[in-house]
Amino acid sequence: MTARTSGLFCTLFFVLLGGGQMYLAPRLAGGLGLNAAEPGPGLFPMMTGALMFFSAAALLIQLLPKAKATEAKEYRSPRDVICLVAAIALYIFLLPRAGFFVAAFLLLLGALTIFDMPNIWRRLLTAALATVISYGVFTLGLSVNMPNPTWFN
Amino acid sequence: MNAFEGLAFGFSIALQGQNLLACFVGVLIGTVVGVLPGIGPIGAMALLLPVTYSMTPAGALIMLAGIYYGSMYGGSTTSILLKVPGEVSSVITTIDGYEMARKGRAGAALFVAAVGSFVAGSIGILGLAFLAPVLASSALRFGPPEFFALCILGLLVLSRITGSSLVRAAVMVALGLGLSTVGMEPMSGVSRFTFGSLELAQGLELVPIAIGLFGIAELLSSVHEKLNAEKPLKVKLKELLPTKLEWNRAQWPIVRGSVLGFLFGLIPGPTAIIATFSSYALERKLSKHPEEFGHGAIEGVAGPESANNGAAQGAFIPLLALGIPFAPASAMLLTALLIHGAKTGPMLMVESPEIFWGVTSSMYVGNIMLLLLNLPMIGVFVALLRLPMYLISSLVALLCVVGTYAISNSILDLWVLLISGVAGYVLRQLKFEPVILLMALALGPILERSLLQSLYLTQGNLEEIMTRPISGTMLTMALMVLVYPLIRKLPAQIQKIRSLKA
Repeated sequence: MTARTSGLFCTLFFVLLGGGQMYLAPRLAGGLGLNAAEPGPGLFPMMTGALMFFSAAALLIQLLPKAKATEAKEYRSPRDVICLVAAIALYIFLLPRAGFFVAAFLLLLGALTIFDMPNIWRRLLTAALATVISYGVFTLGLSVNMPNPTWFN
Repeated sequence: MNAFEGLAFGFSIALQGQNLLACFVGVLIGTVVGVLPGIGPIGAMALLLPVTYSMTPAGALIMLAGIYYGSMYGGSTTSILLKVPGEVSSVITTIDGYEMARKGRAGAALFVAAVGSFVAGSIGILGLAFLAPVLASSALRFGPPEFFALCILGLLVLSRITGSSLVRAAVMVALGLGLSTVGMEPMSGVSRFTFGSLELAQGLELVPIAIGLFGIAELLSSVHEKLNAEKPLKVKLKELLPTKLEWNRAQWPIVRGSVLGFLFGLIPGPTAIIATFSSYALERKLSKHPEEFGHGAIEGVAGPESANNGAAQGAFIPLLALGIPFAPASAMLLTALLIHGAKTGPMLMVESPEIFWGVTSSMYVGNIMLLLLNLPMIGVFVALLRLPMYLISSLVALLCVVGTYAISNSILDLWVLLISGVAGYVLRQLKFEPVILLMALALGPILERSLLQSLYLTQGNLEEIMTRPISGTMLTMALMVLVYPLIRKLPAQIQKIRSLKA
């Protein structure tokens, strides 16, 4: 996907988001209020929705003519970015289920691999050591309460 | 409380054990962040927001402010030893600083940079202590219409200084304000856009979004970046002191750079960078040896390094006295103030004098700490540059998720963090400015409350909001901020049309 196409999709999403907010705001309990002196809970969302809708629409209009004007630059492969996002998502999924040690070890191992640390054994050792040290710092030192792993209870 | 009484009161706050520790941690992290390329002070402040939860608001601000001005100190180290600016405002130092290092005068360059930063910091603090109370003297005349106008002005100023186009900035403001409406409405308590979720009824937490937008997004952006394999030049402790001639040549550029930087800090925009370039140009013009500039002139290090610190201190005046962020890092500090429930704007000095005066005085303490840290420990900071980036980045990833979880032990916060991180990454790729979004999200509840209160107060008469002296002035300034760039472009546009017709 080109940068321009991504920009267009993103801007279109903002137009829809603004439109959605404008649609929902008057339907909130109390709506927009009785008059300007007695505003309802929907007034401010209506205003922000309108700002979003019109500014994103203006941006969309600005971006559209450039369709003919090349800018077909391809993004670099987002594979590593997706892997890092997946590693963090896995951490969030595993934290309440498998506990801090498993979740943090896998996140660190994944991150060290994505950031190109050489040698798998060094990666494993570094991830294990960093997990233990961070457990000591956060849980014992800073009293962060980690969830009890449901899989092991 | 006059400035002297205020400073005395501030020192009594800043010199408390826990605040001294907060200041030390802040300036230490700031220096490290400044030294390490890739991690900016905004990201570091966002990462440390959860840590500040257990601190007093004054302690939290002292630490976060320390990161901000500490990074200015640290930024010079890589500029001089590696020719890689740790911070954007240290770009100009790479020219003569690195040339000095190549000639074996790295120690002297670092010493002059550190002393210059200290002098600039001290001058800036005095300016802050004397000028800010004057600006904030109107605090008691602030009602809802004034706060409404202040929020509008703050958002517009930030939108115009970040380099983003007006429509892109408007989209970010709308997105931030829109997100701030999730949860209970401040006046009636009606749930909005929660879709039945009890957790969402509390509203969106600022910290996970801040860490996501700046911590996770920074990591995702850095995945593709190649690591700098250059080795820093060595510094020997005995070479640290400048010669008498070098010192004589550096003195006045330090003073001029400090004053220039401070004045630039009072203007919205990337003033620290502009101040360094202006100082460099000024010193070159005034120098008896302009031909030495670019080849290791000590004035080319002393002036700009003082100017960037002066600008950093100057930017605290609009932030602390008016609650208007004139730089993205100030916006993060304002966010921290709001998270800690402090009143922003002119009321800060009235309702939370311990924060205003404590932070102001702590800067002096912090500057002394930085001087002591940066000179004898320069070798330690240089050694940091040899740490592999894969290790730092991986630990930062873990710090982001653990820090976010620590705030309220909520898994939902972690998902908000991840979504914000991905959103921040995508927004950066598409040239949107996430800092505007964060600022709008932080100011959203205040803006909405003050708007609704103003409408109740004036019986829905918006004209009254615009004609009150303070709110009217601020709204006029907001209009000028909005319109001025368009007017400035007008002659060029007319010229363009004329040339096309011809």
